[in-house]
Parts: sequence; C-alpha cells; structure tokens
Amino acid sequence: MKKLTYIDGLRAAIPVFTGYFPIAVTFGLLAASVNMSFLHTFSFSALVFAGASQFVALNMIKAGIGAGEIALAVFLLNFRHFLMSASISSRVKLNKLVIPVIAFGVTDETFAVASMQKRELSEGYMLALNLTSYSGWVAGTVTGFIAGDFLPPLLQESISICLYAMFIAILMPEVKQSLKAGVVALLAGLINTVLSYSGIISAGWAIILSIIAAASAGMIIFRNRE
Amino acid sequence: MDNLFTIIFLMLAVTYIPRAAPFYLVSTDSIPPLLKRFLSFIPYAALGALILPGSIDAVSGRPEISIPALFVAGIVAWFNSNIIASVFLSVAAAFIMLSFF
Repeated sequence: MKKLTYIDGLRAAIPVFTGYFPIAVTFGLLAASVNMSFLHTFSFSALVFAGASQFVALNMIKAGIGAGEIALAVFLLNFRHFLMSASISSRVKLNKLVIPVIAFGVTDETFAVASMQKRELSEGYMLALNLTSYSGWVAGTVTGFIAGDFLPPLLQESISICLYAMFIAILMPEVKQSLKAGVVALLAGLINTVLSYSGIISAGWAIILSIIAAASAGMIIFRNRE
Repeated sequence: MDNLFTIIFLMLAVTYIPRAAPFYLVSTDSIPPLLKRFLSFIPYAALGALILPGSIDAVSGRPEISIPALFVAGIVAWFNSNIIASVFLSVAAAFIMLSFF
C-alpha cells in the first residue's frame, strides 16, 4: 500500500476542522465576554491548542484561581496525550526539525484520525492533518472574538455532535473487522464512565487510567490471537 | 494582565511536554515488543474513553437527541467507511431533531 501523503492529511482533517471551528468560536466569544484582550485570547488558542482545557482554564481564571493550580489541572487533563504521542511515534519516523510542529498538533481528534489509518503514516500526512486542524481552532477563536455569536443557535447545537460522530465513524469499521477493537474500546468506555460518575478522581485521571487499564486488558485477553 | 500570559505560558508547557516527550523517548527502531503491543491497543482504548461517557452529552443536556444522532453516525459508518458522510448525516439528524423537539 502507498504511503499517506499531505493530500490525504488535508482530506482527513475536514471533519476535525468542521468540529473545531464552532467550539473555538464559543471559546473566542466567552473570552471576549470576560474582557480578555484579543492578544490574550489569540495566544491562548495559538499557543496552547487544547480544547476542553482552555474552557476549564477560562473558568478558573474567572474564579480567581492561581496560575499553579490551573497549570496542574490542565496537566492532568492533557496527560493522556502522552499515551497518544507514544502510539503515533511508534508508527512514523520523523525528521528532528518537524517533531515539535507535529507533536504540538497531537490532540484527541488528530490522534484518532491518524491512528486508525492502515496505510503507512508520513511526515507530510501528519503535518497537513495537524496544521489544518490547528488552523480551524485558531480561525474559530479569532472569529468568535470578533464576530461573537453569529452562528444560529440551532446550527451551533447540531454541530456540537460533529466530533463525537467522527470518533464513532472512525471506530466502527475497526469494530466490524476485529473483535479486539470493539472489546478494548467498550472496556475503556465503561471504565471511564464508572470512574467519571463515581467522582472519586478527576476527569483527567479517569481518562488516563481507563486507557491504560483497557489497553493492558486487551494485551492479556488477546494474547494468543495475533 | 501580565499574569494572564504567565498562565498561558504555563499551560503551553504542561500541554506541550506530554505531547512531545514520547517522540524523543520512543524511537521506531528500538521498541520492546511488549511495549509495541501495548501501544497498538492505545488507539482503541483512547477512542472508547473519548466516546464514553462524553458522547451522551454531546448536545449539551440533551441525551435524547445526542444518542439517536450518534446512532445515525454508527449505522452509516458500519455500511460505509466514509467519515465525512457519517459526520454530515449525524449533524443533519441532530439538526432535524432539534428543530422539532
């Protein structure tokens, strides 16, 4: 099979871009509503690029919580990307110069898209996927800050299904092909649900532990079938 | 407001380091087989944990709309592996349901 190219990366980024844009618009207008400057709002999305964490941070800033505590919460919420980057880095050889750019663009969504590719990953593919997704996030933030609430509420609400629909659409063909995809995913989802609703640990810990537990269980259950 | 830049740069550090470190720690040539197997399960596990329980609340506070709309995405993806088609039809389903209910 041919290696994936940057064209494949651009195409794969379409649903991510579509999903990011309206969420980032919301971030931009929320930031404006708490009187954050344009430069701060822009820097938030352009330098941090971390969906849910940015909303969490905004709330914490509004509540007057200190920088150290915010950083710790965000660290835990995003530590799952360590596992995702490890998985990607085991599949593609990258030039030292592009590593920082590609690594910066690893998110739940870009990881989900790239990791399920059966063809060989390439630098061009990863760059196109991550940078296009990034541009959707930054462009949405700027648009939201400047234009405010311009999307009709009905459309805004409907689009919020987009990224979850994408996760499911990525998972489905895998589940159809192999038992292990379905079993491991379901296990992770169930563990995360129990941990999240139990309230004993934070959302960041819940997702990290459920990924590690389900992947380990997968190794044991499917030990003899590869 | 300089304090805000302190927060932004701290957040940059704590989000970027976990994303970048593995690219320097894991080299494609020398991964122990056991670790490689573990890493090969991460995509499925991550997708599962990203979908549940968050997706139930995809349209905020409206599980009765989120679940059927995502069911549409699942059905379409089962028969056709075109991700964009699944996503589009799922958003359309949510739009129609939100218009009526």
